[in-house]
Amino acid sequence: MAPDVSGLKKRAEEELKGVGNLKDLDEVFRKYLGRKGELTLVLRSLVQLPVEQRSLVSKEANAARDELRQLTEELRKALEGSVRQGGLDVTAPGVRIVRGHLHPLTRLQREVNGIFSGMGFSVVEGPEIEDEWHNFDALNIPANHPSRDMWDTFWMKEKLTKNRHLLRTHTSPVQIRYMEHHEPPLRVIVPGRVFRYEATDARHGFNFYQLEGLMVGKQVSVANFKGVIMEFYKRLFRSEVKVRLRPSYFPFTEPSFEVDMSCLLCGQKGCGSCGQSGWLEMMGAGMVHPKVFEAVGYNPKFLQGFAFGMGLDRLAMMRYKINDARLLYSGSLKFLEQF
Amino acid sequence: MIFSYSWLQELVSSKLPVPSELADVLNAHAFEVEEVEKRGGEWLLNLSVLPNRAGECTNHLGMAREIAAILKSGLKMPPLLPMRTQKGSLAPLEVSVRDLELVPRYAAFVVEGVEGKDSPAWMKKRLELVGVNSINALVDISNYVMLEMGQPLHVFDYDEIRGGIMRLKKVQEGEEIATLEGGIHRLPAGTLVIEDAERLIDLAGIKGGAVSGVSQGTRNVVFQAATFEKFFMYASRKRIGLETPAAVLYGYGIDPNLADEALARTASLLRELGVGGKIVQNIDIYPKKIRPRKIALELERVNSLLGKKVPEGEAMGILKRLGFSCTKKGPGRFAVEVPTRRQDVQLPEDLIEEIGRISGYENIFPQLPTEYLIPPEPNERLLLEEDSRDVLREAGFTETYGYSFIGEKDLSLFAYTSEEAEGLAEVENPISSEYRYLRDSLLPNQLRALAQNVAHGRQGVRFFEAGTSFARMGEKFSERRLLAGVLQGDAFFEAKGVVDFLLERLGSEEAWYDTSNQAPSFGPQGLWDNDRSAEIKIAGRRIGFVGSLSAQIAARLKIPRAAMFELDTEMLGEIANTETEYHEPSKFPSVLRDIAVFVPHDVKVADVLNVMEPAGGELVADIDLFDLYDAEELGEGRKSMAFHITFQSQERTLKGSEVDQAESAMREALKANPEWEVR
Ligand SMILES: [Zn+2]
Repeated sequence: MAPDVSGLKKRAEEELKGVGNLKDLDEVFRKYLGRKGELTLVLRSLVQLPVEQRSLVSKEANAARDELRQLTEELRKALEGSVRQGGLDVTAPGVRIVRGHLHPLTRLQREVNGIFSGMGFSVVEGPEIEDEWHNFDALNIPANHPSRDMWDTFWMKEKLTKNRHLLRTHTSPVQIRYMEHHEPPLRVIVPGRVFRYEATDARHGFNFYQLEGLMVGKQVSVANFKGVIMEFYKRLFRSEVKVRLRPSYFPFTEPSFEVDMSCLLCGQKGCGSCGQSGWLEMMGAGMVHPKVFEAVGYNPKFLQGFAFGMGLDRLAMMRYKINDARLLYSGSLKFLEQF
Repeated sequence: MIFSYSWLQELVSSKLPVPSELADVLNAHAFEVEEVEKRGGEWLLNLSVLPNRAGECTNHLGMAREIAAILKSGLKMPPLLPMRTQKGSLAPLEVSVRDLELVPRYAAFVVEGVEGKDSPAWMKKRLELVGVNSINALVDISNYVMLEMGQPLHVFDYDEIRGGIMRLKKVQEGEEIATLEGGIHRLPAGTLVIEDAERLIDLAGIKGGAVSGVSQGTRNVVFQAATFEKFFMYASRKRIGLETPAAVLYGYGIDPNLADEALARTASLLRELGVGGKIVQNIDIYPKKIRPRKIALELERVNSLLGKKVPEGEAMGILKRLGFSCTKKGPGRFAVEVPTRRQDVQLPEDLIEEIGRISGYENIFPQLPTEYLIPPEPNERLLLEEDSRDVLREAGFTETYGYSFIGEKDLSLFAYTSEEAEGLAEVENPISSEYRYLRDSLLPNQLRALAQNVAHGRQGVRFFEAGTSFARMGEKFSERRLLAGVLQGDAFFEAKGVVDFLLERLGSEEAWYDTSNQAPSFGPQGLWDNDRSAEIKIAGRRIGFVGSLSAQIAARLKIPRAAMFELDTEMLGEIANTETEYHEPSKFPSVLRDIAVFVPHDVKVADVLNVMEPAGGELVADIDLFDLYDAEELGEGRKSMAFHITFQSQERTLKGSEVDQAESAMREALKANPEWEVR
């Protein structure tokens, strides 16, 4: 009768796995692979087998011997290692890995850009020193009009008196610059730094980041704006959100809205963050004003579009629970290394 | 503006919802509610009316009209007294307007024989609750009518108007007027005023003149309900800097047709308050009557823009409740007549907004666009910048965002020359001198951040920023995207290593570090230690600067040492190649040899490499500096460099003799220089 090599191997493996020190390991080794070990004996007895069985069993037994030897060797190394480490205080701290950090605004912008790219929006940019025409006039904000008071402006020191330069008060001029050189239909977002002539406090800075969005086509509607922006918030905050539009006024959109999002902190029950209202003010938006289409040479009769602008600093503050906008520009490692 | 709930209730025909509910209704359909509060037993609503509606809605009647339209209720007009002049003894005033385009309408009446008195308690209370001080019945009536109807009124003492003449005209340079609040204003040329036969008596539309104001003793008065052109008034108010409620209202633009009702309301209040007197003269200069504008509206456009089907009846009902009149011109087509007070409504889209907001944006269901989706274009510049950020983070750098500004003191702190300062873009109205200029380099603010963290005891700080820098060239401004980094410590070679790492990761060719030109492309040259900095050049183009911080500035910032780099990311984009390609390593063994050489102190590693590389020929796969030793015992002015040289071929195993030959060619080439000693 042929010996049960595979059963033998299995037993040997089981025993090897149970071994906890070098002494036991040697014992198991001897039991199976030593001079009088069980497997050694099988190998020696091969000659007694009928020829037709011999080669098969020989192959199996040799393979089993090799495998068990290898396993023993591996175990030996592991056990030796643990002996050497015996004196180590493993509770001492690991070596601190020096790593860098990306700024929270970078992280947020990447996330936001990614979501909008997924919805077919291209990311475009524009200059931070703008001229008066692109920043105001083309957006239906004429000089000598009270609506200009809605944007406190840093003006550049220069000799020009017409179409003067300024630090852009919003990313909206990039709408104009983009439409001047592209034909509809289009979907773009414009992230970038903007400036307001106002003192800094915990909520506002004189420079901050805005994200502008623009979609123009033949049928683009308020319902589409609601759809896109809800999808955006849903993906950004990874939860179901409600969006509410309230009437507002921006000279470059008609109709214009303030956009509120359901407060995720309190589930709309009312909390300090949402002023007990259950809603958070997120951005301004509206349907592109026909005069804006005219300013860039489009025919407003055949086009509709929506535009929106949100403050990214504020969004970052919400996303990462940052309580002071000035921290974003502080260069403090205590703040930055948390990201 | 603060609105009184009870006042609004007086003007709406149905019972108003409780204040908090009214606030919700207004928030959803009209204006943002900033606050609802109860004061002195009265509910007050602070509503934010934006510039497009401020001309006709910062008054109780205008707001009541909105509320009535939203609630499908009606408007209840306050008592008006039709104006009838009676015979009196006063000589008629002679009023003339020189600039009719600035004064579309001048309406007024003269009342003879008023009795000076205080307003009744209810009026005083109402005025004070919305933030207006009570003065006397005459002045209070004018304020009350403005708050109720939105028409600024002014009341003159008839007996102080000399010569029976009122002339509206623009002033010459240098004229002055004393106004009611007690100030004396020197008026810019072109300011609109009213003068009598002898002097200026009124700063038209902005503030009454001190000489013509009414007091308890006033017997005869003129109530003026004028209309002034809005752009002119806005500019004028900004120039003079007097933000009176009337001036602000005029700047938003008011309806010339409002004067009739406002004066009728004034007459009614004069009687109601028992001020007495009779109207003896009616003045109305209104040569070009403003008529309602007509807008063609198609229902299909309403539905298409809103993304919602609004029934015809609902749309027209909304417009009618807001005071528009609609005539059907065909299926789904209407001619809409806009009341003259609604100067903001000029286009079909303006009407669509009215329909949309009153019917409720909450009834528009979100719908993802069905338009054909064009895949977005990649923004190569931004992608490169994002890659750079990742690379620097991998290299252990922390990203900062700095302000775009630098200040006056920074010019000396960071050693700007006067020529460099001249090239800075400057803000005309800085927040403070600390933020007067736009940064021409990201490094000053980075160094400041570094210094702050060093002051807090931080070690091994490494910062980077990707941002915009600005410059001025004559009358032109320019901006560039830069990538800058600072490293705490004596870390020139780390900085250089980081630049190399970055360039390699961005797929750029190797850079050449040029010390022949010590002027950085951006920021002040004085920032850099001249002996430890170099221009970074790729393919002959200057893409940036790397080096150590000048010891002087380091001392000022109290940072022991620092190294830094600044690169032009736009140029980097042009030379970068983000395509990654696999190069199969050679299958054949490599041979390693070492060569060490003593050279005079001023010889650079690059000089030695430039000799070795060509001499070694094609078999040299890599030359690696592994030791740079610069010490006294080597003899004066000498240093030692040692290189590992790897010989390898892609095609075959190299023979020992080939390698020997190449190595000795390199040694010979080095020896050709008599001052160099090969060991
Ligand atoms: Zn909440």
